[in-house]
Amino acid sequence: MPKRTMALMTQGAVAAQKDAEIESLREALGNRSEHGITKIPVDQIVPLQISRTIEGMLELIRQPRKYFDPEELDLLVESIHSKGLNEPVAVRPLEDGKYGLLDGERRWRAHQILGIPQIDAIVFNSLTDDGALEWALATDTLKASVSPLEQTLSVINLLSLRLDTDESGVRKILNALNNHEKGKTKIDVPEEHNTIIYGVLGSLGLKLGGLVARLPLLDLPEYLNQRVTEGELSPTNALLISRAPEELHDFLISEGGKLSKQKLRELIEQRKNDAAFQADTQIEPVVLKKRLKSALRKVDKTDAWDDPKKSKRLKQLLQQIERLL
Amino acid sequence: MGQGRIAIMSNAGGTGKTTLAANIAYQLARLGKSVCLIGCDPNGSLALFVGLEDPVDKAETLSKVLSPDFDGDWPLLPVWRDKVNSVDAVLGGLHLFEATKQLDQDPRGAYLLSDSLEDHPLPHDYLLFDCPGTVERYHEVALCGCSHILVTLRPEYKDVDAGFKLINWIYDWQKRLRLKPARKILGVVINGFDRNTAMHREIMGNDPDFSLPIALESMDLALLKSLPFSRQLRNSSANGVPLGLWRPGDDINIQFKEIAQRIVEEVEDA
Repeated sequence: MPKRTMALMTQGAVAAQKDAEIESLREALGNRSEHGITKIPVDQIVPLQISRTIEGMLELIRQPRKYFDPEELDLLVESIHSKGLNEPVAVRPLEDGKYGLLDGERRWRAHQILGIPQIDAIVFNSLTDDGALEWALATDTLKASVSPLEQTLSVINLLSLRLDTDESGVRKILNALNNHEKGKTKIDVPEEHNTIIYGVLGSLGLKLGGLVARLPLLDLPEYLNQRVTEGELSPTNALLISRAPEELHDFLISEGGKLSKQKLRELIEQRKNDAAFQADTQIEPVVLKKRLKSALRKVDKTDAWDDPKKSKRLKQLLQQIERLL
Repeated sequence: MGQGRIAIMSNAGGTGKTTLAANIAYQLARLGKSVCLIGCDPNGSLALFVGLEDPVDKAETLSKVLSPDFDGDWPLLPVWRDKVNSVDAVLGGLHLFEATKQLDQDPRGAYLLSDSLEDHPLPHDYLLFDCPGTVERYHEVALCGCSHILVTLRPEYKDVDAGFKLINWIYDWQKRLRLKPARKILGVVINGFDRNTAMHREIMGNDPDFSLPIALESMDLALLKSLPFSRQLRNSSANGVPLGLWRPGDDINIQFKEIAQRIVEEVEDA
């Protein structure tokens, strides 16, 4: 047995430490009441919006695609209507005099629906663009309701700000770094990229490999995307389905959406084989004859005859074959 | 400034917890601080290391403090009074074994020491909890009662492996016990480093696979000191005095002093 490495010995402690850090961040976010709460006109608030210039061009950073379950929104509307707002929303002042939402889009929408003119808000005055995004992301990441897709997109956006490049640039750097880390390639990733990426991942408690594995989520076709967002498909299953032949997608979504990863894989394989088998019969009857002969060669060797069920089934099949031939 | 409550923990026996506690107490006293050593170890040697008789009755020990009818009359014993005037001790020892049953039955179990410190505060600037050599009930008691944690290890694989399990436990249990604010791990003190032992050199070396300093740094945990193996240190403990009183000229005293200063910085700057 080789000696235990430090990596192995520290594994548990490192994980527990990360947990504790997230816990304290959560707490810090929960303690926002030490900031003053003010009332702000609902129509003066706009959703999280971050713009920046790349090579002289003004660009609006893609919004995290937020999906709000209509039923949950109804419940929230109902609750605010009967009991009022529990937790204030968080905003920052924008240059045009409006307020950009950092946290609480659902609560804000509920106020719009109810026609309440003002909302309780905590105003954060000195937040930069990436500070705002990081803040929003940190609150989001800590909430169970954010989908992996939204989370991935938010992290890419944040990295795009920090690394000063666009989405595809960030993805290139992440992939290069991941390959480098796995020892597949030897290219040098610039030290500052390294520091930025690990800094962001560390502060959010994410792993490089995990993030890279989720990147293909951003390329899902819209119909799969929507099902992930609505919680009908798990991200893993959506990825599996997207890689299967396109003509199987409808069938796989309806039959395989709720299956485990392994079962879905089996289903896809089986369907592919069925398709291949059908193709066989059309093109090559010779192959079929061969398969039948080779199957019959096993008649003496198999112990299926000892199993009453299998034996009965064989008898039925034999009768069918005899009739056909 | 609040009271600094430092729990000295390890997950192995003979790592030098009590030695460290006694010497830090002495150095803190030299910095003008008042200190109370608290024995939280049923098998502990605190009495021996500070030159006190073993307690005869459980009312002379921490056991009394953990009892539900504790009235605030702390069983304080003066320590090294002829040399320093601000060190006291509350002894642990075998009587604590019986009190474990108390801890198990009381609804506030793990919080009993913390409760007593809240209801009947000690006047000292610093409390040093001398914990058992394995994670058990009194570790919970100390974790609840402390504000900071110091971990001691020998540079041996067994100690290091167990040490990280202890650190894992500290984070997990803070969550389970819902301790707020979080107890801060001040850092790790290495005890008994011997340059002539290959394993010690490897653990304190630069190979990322086996280097403890690199592992600690990656976790943002401070390696406070690496203290060499020292016969004089053992002799001083056996004689119930800190090294500073036994061999005032020994260099290791400077290291203990620096640990004490670090503790003061951490506690008083917060």
